Amino acid sequence: MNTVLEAPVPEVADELQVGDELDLQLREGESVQVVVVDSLGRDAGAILAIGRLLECLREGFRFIAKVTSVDGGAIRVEVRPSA
Amino acid sequence: MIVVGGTYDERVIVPPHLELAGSGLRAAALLRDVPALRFITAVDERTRPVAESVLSTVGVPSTMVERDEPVGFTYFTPVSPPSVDGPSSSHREPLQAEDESALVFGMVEKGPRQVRSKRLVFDPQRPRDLRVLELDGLEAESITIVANAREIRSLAPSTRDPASAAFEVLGGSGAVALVVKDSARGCLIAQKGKETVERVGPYPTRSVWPLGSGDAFAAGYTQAWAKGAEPVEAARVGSSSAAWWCATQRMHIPPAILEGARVSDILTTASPELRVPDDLPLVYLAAPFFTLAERWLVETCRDVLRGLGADVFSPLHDVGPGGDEVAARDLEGLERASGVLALLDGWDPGTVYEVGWAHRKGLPVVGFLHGPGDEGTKMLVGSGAEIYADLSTALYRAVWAAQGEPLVGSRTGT
Repeated sequence: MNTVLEAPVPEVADELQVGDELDLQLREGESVQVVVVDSLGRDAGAILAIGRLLECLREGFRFIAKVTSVDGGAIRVEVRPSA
Repeated sequence: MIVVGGTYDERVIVPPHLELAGSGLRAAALLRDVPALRFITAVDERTRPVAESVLSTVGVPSTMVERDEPVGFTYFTPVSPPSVDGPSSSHREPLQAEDESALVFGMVEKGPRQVRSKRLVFDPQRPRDLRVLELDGLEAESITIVANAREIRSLAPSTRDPASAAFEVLGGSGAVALVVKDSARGCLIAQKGKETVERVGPYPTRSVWPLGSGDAFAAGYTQAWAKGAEPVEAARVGSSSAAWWCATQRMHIPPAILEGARVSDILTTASPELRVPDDLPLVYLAAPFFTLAERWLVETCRDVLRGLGADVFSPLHDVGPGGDEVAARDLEGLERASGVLALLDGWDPGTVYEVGWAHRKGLPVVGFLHGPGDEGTKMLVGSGAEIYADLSTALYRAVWAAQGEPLVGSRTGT
């Protein structure tokens, strides 16, 4: 799945480069969000949930979001299961 | 403002794409910066947690009523007609809302709705088999209908002229304005009390993701009209918003665009408004049609080009297969064309010849090349052609080029 990083956290997202691999994590609050975390454990932003992604993350499957383009404020990522 | 509309799974086979959107959810997300925005929709048990997560991430408050089954759309490509899952879905509880302004989309689900506002925009969202505008449950001081050209043709089947059809539908609706979304030709605006339609052109972009562009148009139009813009200016905001979406796929229209800035002032990959000619542009479809796959692609491209607002000269359809005698008749068609779409996979000699002939005549050429190997593109790109691996983009660019949008020799995605 290809998608755009939502609500990018400026100081983290500004450092992202094409090819960087980020972790997906569930963040449970009043509602559940899919947060994208960099290799230092910092929130970089979020992606919009799709299909069974929430269930899969809850069941412990891991996914990565690989940065495919950085164009102005838009950061595109490709989401796929972690090897 | 309230947005009332569907929340649906959207899947595309080529290129692979999956998201939870639907007209309502997409428009609400696009308008997320509008103060006091609220989204009213229907979801089933399975979709609810995903929808709640998406709306929480984009920061839009919502009211969700229960529907009895999921609804989804699957497209082979973004320009293909969809197959619909869950077409008999329904909800019992009404979709209920009241505010100063409202954007209401027609939905797949059957069920009651009660929406009250001062200014209300209604987009029927039914490109096939639309016979009547279903305005039940909508109360407003002023209504604008925003519909696509195919919907307007369905509503006024005996009228061939788009402007007359727009006024016929407007007259029977009680609305103050009707906006006809006309794909690659922008839109037409018919207003109560006026005798002629006005046209707002498209803002061509270097890449085009067309799924959802109509939702972005309706979203931009509604916000601008709600803030007091006249319908023609609101349509310009709508057109800019649609271009923003097509170029970026970002579910967030920048506030500057909603306030009237043109997308071309913000995005370097968007052009200023294209003043389209009154007559439909003629696009020459240069392509091989020897195999089933080639033939299928030619049929698809011809249908889509016509849907985008172009006349098409297709050697297959307008001359037919034959021997040496077809060459002169094909070139007669090329002589009349104002642009060329070339389907380059396989590098058919006849297609390449037509492209060279077009270049010598000064016609803009857009190529579609999905397969591997772009070695053969040097001469084309070097002489100003744009080559795309993305079918939607190639089709839109071809229609825009045939209406005067300047091309920049380039290859994208090949």
